[in-house]
Amino acid sequence: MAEEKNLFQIIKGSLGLVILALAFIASTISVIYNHITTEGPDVKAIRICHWQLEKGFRNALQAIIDDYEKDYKARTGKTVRVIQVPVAEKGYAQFINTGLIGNMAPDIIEVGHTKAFENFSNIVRYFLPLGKYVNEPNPYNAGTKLAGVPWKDTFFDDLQGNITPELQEYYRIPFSVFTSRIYYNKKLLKEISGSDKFPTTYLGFTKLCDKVKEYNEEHDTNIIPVAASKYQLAFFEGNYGKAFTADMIRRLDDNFNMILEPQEAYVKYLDKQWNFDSPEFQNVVKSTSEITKYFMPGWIAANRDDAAFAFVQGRALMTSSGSWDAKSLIDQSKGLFGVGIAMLPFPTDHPEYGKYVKGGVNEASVTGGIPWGVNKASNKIDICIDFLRYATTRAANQKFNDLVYWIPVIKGSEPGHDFLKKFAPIQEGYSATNKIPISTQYTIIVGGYRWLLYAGKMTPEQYTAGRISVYEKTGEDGFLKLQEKDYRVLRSYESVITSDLIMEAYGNKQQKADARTRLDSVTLIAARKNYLYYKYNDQLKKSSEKEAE
Amino acid sequence: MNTVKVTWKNFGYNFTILFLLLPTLAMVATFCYTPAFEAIRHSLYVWDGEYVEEYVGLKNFHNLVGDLGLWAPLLLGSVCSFASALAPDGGKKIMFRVFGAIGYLGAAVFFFIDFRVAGKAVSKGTPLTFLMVLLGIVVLCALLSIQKANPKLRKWTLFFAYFLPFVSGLVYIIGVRQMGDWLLWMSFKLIFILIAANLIKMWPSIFTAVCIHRLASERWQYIYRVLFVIPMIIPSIVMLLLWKFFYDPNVGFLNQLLMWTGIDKILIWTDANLLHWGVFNNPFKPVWLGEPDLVIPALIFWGFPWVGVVGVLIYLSGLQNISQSVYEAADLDGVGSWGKFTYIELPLIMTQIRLNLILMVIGTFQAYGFQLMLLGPEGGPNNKGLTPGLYMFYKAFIENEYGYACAVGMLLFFIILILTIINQKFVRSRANG
Repeated sequence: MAEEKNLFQIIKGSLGLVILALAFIASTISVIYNHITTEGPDVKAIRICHWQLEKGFRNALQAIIDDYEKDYKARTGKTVRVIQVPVAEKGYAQFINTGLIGNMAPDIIEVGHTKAFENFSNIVRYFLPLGKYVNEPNPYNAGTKLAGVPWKDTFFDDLQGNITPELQEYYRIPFSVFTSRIYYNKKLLKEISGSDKFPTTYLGFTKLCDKVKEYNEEHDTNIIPVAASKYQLAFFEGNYGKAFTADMIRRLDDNFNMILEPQEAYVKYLDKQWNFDSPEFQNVVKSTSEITKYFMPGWIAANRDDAAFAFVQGRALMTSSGSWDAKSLIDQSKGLFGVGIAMLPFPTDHPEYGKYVKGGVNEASVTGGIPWGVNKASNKIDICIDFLRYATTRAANQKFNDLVYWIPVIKGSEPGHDFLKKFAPIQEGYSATNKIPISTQYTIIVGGYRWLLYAGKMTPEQYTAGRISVYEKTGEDGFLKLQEKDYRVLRSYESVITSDLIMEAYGNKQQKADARTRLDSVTLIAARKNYLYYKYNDQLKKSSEKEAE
Repeated sequence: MNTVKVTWKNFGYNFTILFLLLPTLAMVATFCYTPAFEAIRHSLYVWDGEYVEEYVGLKNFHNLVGDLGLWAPLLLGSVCSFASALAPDGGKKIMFRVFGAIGYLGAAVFFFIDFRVAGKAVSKGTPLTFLMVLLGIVVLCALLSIQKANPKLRKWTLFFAYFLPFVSGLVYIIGVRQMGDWLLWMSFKLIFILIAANLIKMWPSIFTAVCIHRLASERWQYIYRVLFVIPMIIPSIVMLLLWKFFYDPNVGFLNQLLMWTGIDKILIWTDANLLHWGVFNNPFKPVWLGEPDLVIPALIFWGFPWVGVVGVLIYLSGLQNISQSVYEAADLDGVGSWGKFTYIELPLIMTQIRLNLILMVIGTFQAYGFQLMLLGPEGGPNNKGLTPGLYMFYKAFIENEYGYACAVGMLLFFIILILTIINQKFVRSRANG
């Protein structure tokens, strides 16, 4: 006789099955619905992926997408779907790398965040060359002032910032321009300093931060001078680094690209042309350490979001970020306080630092941001190009940037909001970049030391001594590894040059002309890289011989 | 169930079952074994993760370990010890026991050299007395490993044989700071600290499983089991981010809790008078993930109260195999609760404990996601949170040196394999015995 089961036992016995069945049904319905909306016989769907999770971006992009889909339907009678695939910044590189390698990447990809994009041979492998498209007029500009103008010339920089010089080819279409500034709380500034004006000098800046501490003591408050995290540190450290080392880098820069490459730096270090003890480096460390004393407690472990959170809650006087965060910060502080935008003051007025800083850092080399590349493996390339053309008309680009509070990138368009004018790139000033990290060990260990320095656990002298120790210990190995990598790149150039030579010999008229254009520049670039490769090897050899003597 | 040997004669009869196994085997081969073999292959290449590949032989391993000759003491000692311990029949045969003892003594000589050299290299000097005592212990263990009378003693001396070469070799490597990837070797320090901590952190799950098992009501046992299963649907990344919030110095729950309970005053006093770390001050806002001295405690404390969902369910399944008659007999003998735990439950779930131990060791060695989320790819301040897995991730996905990362993975594989063998040999269930 079967045992009678009570209700509890029946539920217990079948609960799992019921949950499983419900989950399966829900998933099936979702898959079917997605399939119908995106893969129907008359539906063409493309995916566009990015890491911009800032407030407003997805809505703004969706607005342009909706306009495009309506326009496409009205023109052709067919349905097109552009599906956003937002991916968190931390996982974006892995998502893109694996997608590209596995041939499953989205159709339009926001280019960046992975070293794969720095290697021109990877760009060629995975991304569609856009040269033939950008040299033609954008058909969506018909009837406007930009009618008949080649698509590339409708961008503020004629698309020069998004050309791959090794290949003399375009692979990216940008949507916006970005610069970084200080955001400040207008209400707190008035309360604390008694003035509406943000300081324009370094000493004025540090005085203001000291006033915040005095204000806290007088009023028993806990206002943070600078809401910051590691993200904001890069803004201060990067700008001060450029300002202090611009002259030094110009002096050491052999290949005149205003970048002190790792190998270049290493051989000159061995030749004693520079040292970490030099005033330039010391002053970067000292000035940044001074500023970090005004950062919020625990900033070392904080994220960009934590700093933004502290600022928009009115707990901090200022923070720093790019124009990409403008909408988020302004929207979230609405009703609490007004947000002002200010330039970072450079220490030209400082009695000690001022001797080494001639002025601020220029932004003349800023290029178009939010660059989109078209996946070569996409089977809807025509839709991808069409969408990018649509989105980069003056009207659409203006609308997109107005919605997201960014600076448009098409000629003739203006920043849609007054405060964005303060983000306009500054043309005057100095700039140079150093890429001293020579090895993984240096990057990781000195990266660890930096946090000790800024946490006050290490003095600048100890930090410098640590840097020197790791640099000298790992420099040679790192140098040799980088040289090996460069050697492989040189061999890639050889294959590019070979294929162009073949194209020039056997291609049609247009192919011959394209190949000739590329050969002229690629050969020059390869020759320069080749020269530098052997020059660095020779310099290392001479330094080793000198040391042995 | 009777087992039947499958031969060609009865193949047709068993064909259906074998055929149904094929898809699973194919998937395992495709998604498990193929990537593993590819990783082994790519460890011999310089590979950027895509199509740039250059065969370099053992160069990646050479960069990892430096001069292979300097590893000779560790390798020789390990080989001798393992050979003797892996002898058939538990090493009862005199030949294997003698061989083991000779190998053991040979390894002892190398261990002595290792410690001496390491001592000199770190400039602190390892006391000669300590080394002589250690050598004496090793010689004694070698002699004891020959004897037949006490198998338990022989087993423990062999355990010492496994442990010593590993430790002494590491001391040597760290002390000499020889060529090779010393950043990687430095990262092992945290792993051993975490393994030691995780050994303690296994126990709350065991106690929880025992408590659930002892509940009189079957309904409540079911409810607790469901309550433990439900959190499994939460992605681990969510837990990580929650804990990151807990550790926030300004608004995090941990600092608030310490202040509410008054523990902050104890910590401030301890820091000022005993530890002298300078991390617990007034106002009380320790930066758990930003202070070098607090990073490791933060990593260890993560997951408190350390009642792992999977662990509890595994132990519970083991406990449910214990017959009720065993408990009744224990009651008749007057065995108390603790006695039941130590004499009945714990021995009978040693298989599950061993399984979890293996999984824990493997998980700890492979761990990187946790440290990456909380501390960043460099492992936080002063690289305190850098683990081999995180270093491997950095090499692959940030430096684009996938071939080298595969070599690091191979090294981790061998280490985990050795530890698993040790675990298999020495952590046995009485039920199996």
